[in-house]
Amino acid sequence: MFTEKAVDLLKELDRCPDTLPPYHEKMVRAVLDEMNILFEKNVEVLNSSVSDNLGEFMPVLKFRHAALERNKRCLMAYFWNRLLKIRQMRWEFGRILPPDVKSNLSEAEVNWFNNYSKILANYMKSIGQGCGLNLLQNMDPPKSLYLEVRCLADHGEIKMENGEVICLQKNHLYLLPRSACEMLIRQGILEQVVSF
Amino acid sequence: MKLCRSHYFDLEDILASHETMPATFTEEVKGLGFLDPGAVTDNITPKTKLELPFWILQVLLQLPNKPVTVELPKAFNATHRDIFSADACIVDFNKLCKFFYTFGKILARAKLKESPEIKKMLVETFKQRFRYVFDLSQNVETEKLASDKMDRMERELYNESRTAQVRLNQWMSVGIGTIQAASMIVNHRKRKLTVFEL
Repeated sequence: MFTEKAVDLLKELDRCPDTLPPYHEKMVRAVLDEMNILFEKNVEVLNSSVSDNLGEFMPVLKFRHAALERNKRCLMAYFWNRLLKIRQMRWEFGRILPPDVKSNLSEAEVNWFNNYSKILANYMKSIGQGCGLNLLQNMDPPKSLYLEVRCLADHGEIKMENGEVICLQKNHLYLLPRSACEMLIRQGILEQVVSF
Repeated sequence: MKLCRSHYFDLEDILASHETMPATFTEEVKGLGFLDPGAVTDNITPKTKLELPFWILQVLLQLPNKPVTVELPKAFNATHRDIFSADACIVDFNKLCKFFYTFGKILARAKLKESPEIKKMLVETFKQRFRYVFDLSQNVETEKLASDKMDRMERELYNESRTAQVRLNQWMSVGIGTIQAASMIVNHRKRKLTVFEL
């Protein structure tokens, strides 16, 4: 039956609401091929039949056209919903995606991600009265300037705003300025230690 | 929370309109034989009974001679409407119809002769079941539900309300102020937990 493949693509997206499933180049191709076939068949009917018996073929023409439109809608929805997730990734993973996540993106999507990153960076540079404003910081109102954090992974060296270099090692505790560690906490490299 | 109104790119709307309905052809339709797996010729003969996705039926119903008559799917037929009016909370939407409300809205908009009744039923069902969903979300301790009778929309409502409740409880006991890892990161890490453990 027509449009089954396109719906399968959407079902897969629907099944994993928290992650991004790999981009199915082959399936998308197959849907596009199906759309071409539908279109060609319709053109064939229109060319071959004389105008007075066209009425007989109206149902099948209309059906094929609807299937074509439906396929289009499914594909657009597939791309759009993936883009929403990729946009969310920019805010949660940061500018650089982990390789296993990146491998799930298509080439065009990687380009889109980079472009979005660029636009976001340019915007953040342009606001804040000339000195820029990092929108990714202070997602919640800050309570203190320094945070006590535990390191969850061997991250390596990070550079602080005052030029100091700190080496983050697993299971060590640090007291860091909030601005330096907020993004790292959100990326899951550090964990905030709560003292009761 | 996601918008309740459906739009062109809405996954739920597309998947819901893919739900099948039983339909009977009243007239011969030329060239549509491929819809019927048992058809011998290229045409569909009268009195053929098929289970077709809603979007196909919508096309056929818009034809001037209306070659099909549709029956409502199981979840919306008269028997189930009676069950809903008696006690909607016992119905298992997960088994019956996963997109009950979305599909219901589509049917209500489709100008079938039962549409007004479906409209009324949707509101009443939601009213009855809302308390059940609300009650669960405020009082369930574990993350996974043992018995899950909710349809997609109720599920979303439940998740939303549960996270709100959990955050409120947290705030009451500890106060706000910790920064959490982003949800995508947490999920990503769960998937490759073994890599991190090594």
